[in-house]
Amino acid sequence: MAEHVVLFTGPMGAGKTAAIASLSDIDPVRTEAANTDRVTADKATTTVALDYGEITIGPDEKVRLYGIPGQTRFEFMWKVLMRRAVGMILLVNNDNPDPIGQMLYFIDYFHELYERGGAVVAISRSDVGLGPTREEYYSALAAARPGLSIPIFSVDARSPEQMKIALFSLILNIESRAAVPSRYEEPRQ
Amino acid sequence: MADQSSSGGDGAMVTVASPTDSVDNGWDDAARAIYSVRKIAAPMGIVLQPDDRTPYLVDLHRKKFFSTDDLTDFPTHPVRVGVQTYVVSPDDQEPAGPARNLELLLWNVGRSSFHGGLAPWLSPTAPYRLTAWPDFTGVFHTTFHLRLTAHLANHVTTVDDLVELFPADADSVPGAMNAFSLLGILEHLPAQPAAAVQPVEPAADAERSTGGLWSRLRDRWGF
Repeated sequence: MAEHVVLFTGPMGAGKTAAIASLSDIDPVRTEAANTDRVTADKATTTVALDYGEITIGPDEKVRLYGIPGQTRFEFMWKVLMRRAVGMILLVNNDNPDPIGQMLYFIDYFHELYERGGAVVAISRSDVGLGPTREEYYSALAAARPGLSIPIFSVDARSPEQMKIALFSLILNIESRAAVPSRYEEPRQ
Repeated sequence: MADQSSSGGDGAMVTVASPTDSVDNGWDDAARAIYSVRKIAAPMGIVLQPDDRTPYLVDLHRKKFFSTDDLTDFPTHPVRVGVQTYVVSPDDQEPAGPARNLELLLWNVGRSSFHGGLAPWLSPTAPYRLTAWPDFTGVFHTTFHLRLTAHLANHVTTVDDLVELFPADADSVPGAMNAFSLLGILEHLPAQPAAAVQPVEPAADAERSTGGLWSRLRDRWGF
């Protein structure tokens, strides 16, 4: 059985659970409990262990979707999941008090995963409030981590079509990054 | 043409004389106007009016356009697009009418301009790369646009090379490049001494990590 693990990372309230539900062929496995961190996210419940969903490509191939717990106290789980993953979709809610800081935090933490595979940033809740623009996310990323090739999209995590585009772009970007450099580029080491 | 200085009602915009006023070349001059205003980073807006359709007020500073037209029926081949430039102050109130994501309009204008050819400010032999991806969750696209974007975001490439890389969609390459340029995400890199041409194909690492998952996922979802 060929398996491809994709992580859904990001802070609490960014829409990781909804994003997995949008993509999964099966009813997502959700392990939620009462939220004890209401200051960080105004949400009745929050993920404290895992969300899990899957996409069946064929009889012998699946894409496994894992949503990580958003709180930093669950970092030990991030490391475990990162080892098996080919890439991540980083969800950041644009109405977060510091959405760009959150993006950079998760990009830095999962940098090894980016180097080995790829990443997409999905900005949720950009239709509410006045958060940063996509250009500001790109500028901040270019300043903090020059040279990264990371697509940044605005998404409604509840939309299967939009989440398919995000996942599709992630896979395509991973495969394209690994292609042989063109004649205008230095060969990768 | 005489000056047309006038108040925009609340003073948000003032029409100024412009050599680009009232041109007759479909989306070509609209694309030129957008490109030139973007290049000088002037506080200017542009009004585009295709044929007898509802006008689009383009605000490059706010990255929005204002129109009652939501682009579901975008006129890809208008006979005439009226183009007017306006002065915009950051302190001005937004124009009346629904504010929409400017990327959607620029993407459509770029792909519809120059009759499928390359914009005159782009070169078929110059090396380019993308500094960002279009917001594909909002703009209409095909799998070709995703593949082209992924390639250009990761590899410095000329338009001529792209045409060779995507033979089935070669006719769509110039329009997409025009659109990338209008979006302001296409970077022109200094020409490098040409080395031996190398084919671009998936490397072993990619095969190991995803095993060509993209094409199977595309089939699975019927893209």
